Amino acid sequence: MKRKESRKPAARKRSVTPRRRSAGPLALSSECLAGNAESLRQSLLRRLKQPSVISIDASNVGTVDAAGLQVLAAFARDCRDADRELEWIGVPPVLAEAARLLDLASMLGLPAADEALPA
Amino acid sequence: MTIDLTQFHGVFFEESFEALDSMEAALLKLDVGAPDPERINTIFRVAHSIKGGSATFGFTAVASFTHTLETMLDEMRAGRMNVTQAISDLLLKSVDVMRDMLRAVQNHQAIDAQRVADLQFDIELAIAQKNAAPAASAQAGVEPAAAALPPAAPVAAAPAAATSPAAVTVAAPEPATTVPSMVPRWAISFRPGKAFVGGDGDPLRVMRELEAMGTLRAFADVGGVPSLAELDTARCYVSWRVELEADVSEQAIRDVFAASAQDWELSISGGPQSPGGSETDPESSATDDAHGDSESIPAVAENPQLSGGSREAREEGPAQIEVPAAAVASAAETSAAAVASTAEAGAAAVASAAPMATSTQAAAATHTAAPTADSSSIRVSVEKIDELMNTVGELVITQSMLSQLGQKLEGPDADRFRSSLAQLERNMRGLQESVMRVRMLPISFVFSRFPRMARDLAQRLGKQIELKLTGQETELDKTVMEKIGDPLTHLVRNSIDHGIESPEARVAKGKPAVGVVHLDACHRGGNIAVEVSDDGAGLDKDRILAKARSRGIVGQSDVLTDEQIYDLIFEPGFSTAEKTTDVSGRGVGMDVVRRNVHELGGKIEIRSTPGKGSRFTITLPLTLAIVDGQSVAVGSETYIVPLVSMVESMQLQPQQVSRLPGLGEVLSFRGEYLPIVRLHEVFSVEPRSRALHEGLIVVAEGDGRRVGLFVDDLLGQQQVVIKSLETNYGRIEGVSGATILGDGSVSLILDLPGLIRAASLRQAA
Repeated sequence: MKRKESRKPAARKRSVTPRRRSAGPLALSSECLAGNAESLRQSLLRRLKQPSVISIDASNVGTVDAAGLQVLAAFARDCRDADRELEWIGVPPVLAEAARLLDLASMLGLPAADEALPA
Repeated sequence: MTIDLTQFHGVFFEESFEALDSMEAALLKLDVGAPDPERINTIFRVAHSIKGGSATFGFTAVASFTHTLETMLDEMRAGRMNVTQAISDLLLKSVDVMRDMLRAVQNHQAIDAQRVADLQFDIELAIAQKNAAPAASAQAGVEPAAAALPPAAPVAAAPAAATSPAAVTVAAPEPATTVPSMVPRWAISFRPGKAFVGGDGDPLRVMRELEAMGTLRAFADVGGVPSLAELDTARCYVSWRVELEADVSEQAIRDVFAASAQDWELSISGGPQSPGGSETDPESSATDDAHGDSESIPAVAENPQLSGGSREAREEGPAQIEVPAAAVASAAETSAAAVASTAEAGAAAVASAAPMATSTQAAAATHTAAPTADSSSIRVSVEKIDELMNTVGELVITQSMLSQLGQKLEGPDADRFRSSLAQLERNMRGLQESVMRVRMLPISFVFSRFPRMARDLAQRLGKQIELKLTGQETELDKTVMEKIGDPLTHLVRNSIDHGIESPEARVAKGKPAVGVVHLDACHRGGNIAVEVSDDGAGLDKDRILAKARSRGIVGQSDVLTDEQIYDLIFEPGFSTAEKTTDVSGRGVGMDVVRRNVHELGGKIEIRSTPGKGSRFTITLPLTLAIVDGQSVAVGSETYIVPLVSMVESMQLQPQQVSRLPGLGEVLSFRGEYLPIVRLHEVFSVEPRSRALHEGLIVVAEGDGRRVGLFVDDLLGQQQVVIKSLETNYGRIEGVSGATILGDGSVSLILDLPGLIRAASLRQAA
């Protein structure tokens, strides 16, 4: 599988002002759960097709589960594989914590990814 | 992907032999009756490491035997089995057998299967008898050794895939050599069976609860996650491996999973019995298929990251138990990640297994493993050090060339040049010493073999021996160390067999029943002195002399000094023992002792007091790479006489020289007549003078004999770097090597024992 280490520092910043291009950041809903995983997948797929920096605004996320994280993780990896820049905006603790517990933080490329890695 | 595991064999063997040495040392210190639990732990860890490593590399016989041993050690560790003398003996025998097995495997030789099977049977019997004893716990019978090797559960606990970013989290397992935490360590592998069910069936909920139990490290295997376009959001493509350090029961962990409607694929291994690693209970490591149905297996099969090895483990459970090592080996070949995981089975494999993981995590794993193993030392091949030593030797020569040049220089800059040279010389000396120190090892490496030997010998001979070891931290060159082992073994064996009397005889003489054999090492000047002394009967001078006379080694009327009489025991085939035991007394050995010591450029001395004991002192140079020498001039040539061989030098008066039949020219030296060896004749060079009183005599000794070397002049003392003549040219009797002098010329280093032999042959001819 192709994998590129081309994450730019900007993508790791937690709350930078998103660069406005053709599309604004994709705001995640408050629930990132199995129940709405499919609709999340669809909207992420659409975003993947747009030729711009991809910003995900996660600041609204209040609940998350493994199914939701799996969709986000697959999306983040697809971005990397396609050499697309992914910006996370406003990652709430609940998301960072879930990613750390499930060891998906590095796949998601979350700003706190490094901290989530076991020593 | 196939990985050539053979490249890691060397490290495995090296570490295993070292581990066995430490196991042996711990066993010898094990108190029968009231063993120190930490010591048993140490022993257990060694067995565990070797088992793990052997299994990883497919050395089935070693793994199987070690497992049986480990079972017994585990019983001891748990306090269910007493440490008796017989058990202690059994354990020591096991060390021998393991060592021989590993050696056989290393040299691609056949293992002595009968011996292994016999001992394995004895161990199983001992465990079984423990169970039969009333005090034994209610635990059911003995695990049959051949079938009981734990399956490689960690393989089933599929680690992160090499290709996924999460694979970076594949941490090298903690080596068992580190002190294990006493908190039970669980290895849990799981994934939702079919689909996400949310709520209680959410892996995140499980993970949170597990983390609440103790210290948790999770490793996600995301290799199976397809692209977003192909992703079925209802299905979970990720599986997790969790290392949990928590003082909880296996049931408590299972309960976390049970509290949901999810069909978990779950495997749990480890626990209280294996704080150091992944000791696996075959039952608990089997995949929990309580909810499992036929659909869950294809789900696994679709996931390439659950390696072939683990599939095999699931589908062919019983077969795997029968041929565990093979299964592990095949798993190892199938997947690099699996290897890294399998390596958890033993610390011995840690160092070697870590680099097996492909791509970037290899480095990560190695880096994590190495510092924990031993952050203060690194393993360097001897060749590299020798190369370094050689280069330093060349530098020393270059530096002395410069010094010679500096002395001749004149002009305004000459002084500055000379002072810079002096500084260079100081730094050179420092460098040389540092490099030499790298090659130095404490003599405890050799001494450590003796406690075991003394114990076994004393047992066999019915003697009571106390072995005292002192000066173990004394360091000497590795090469010297390797060659001193055998001579010392002979001496210690002789002391125990011939020196120390039987307990009855000792008591009758008013001595304590326990005889003391003392090994001591210390630095004396540029040499190291190793002493083997005992408080036994001492050497019987009269018997030695009588025997020597009867064998014609000494003439009937010859009068010998004590020293000369003692030296006779080094004659080949000489023995005064009345009966030959299988230990010693055949007269083989002491001549080897002397030869080895001489080959090292050392000497051996004997002191003995009848009824009080004997002392053998071996004096050796600290290193074989550099020698302190006296340069002497003969004609236009310069020769080096090692200082260790030199007694003194003097100018002869014509009246000191006489001619004796059979000896040729001799000189009178403190009541002794020493043969004169004219070096110019030995080496066929033209001397400045042939008249003895016009040159100098260097009294030197070798092989216990002294000679007067006739030379033209003494030049000076210096350290010289020894260059092997044998490697670069060929062996010459009387010459131990060559060196390059400051002026670039080559000078031969004299080997006194050889020279004396050569000279006496010339006299005889």
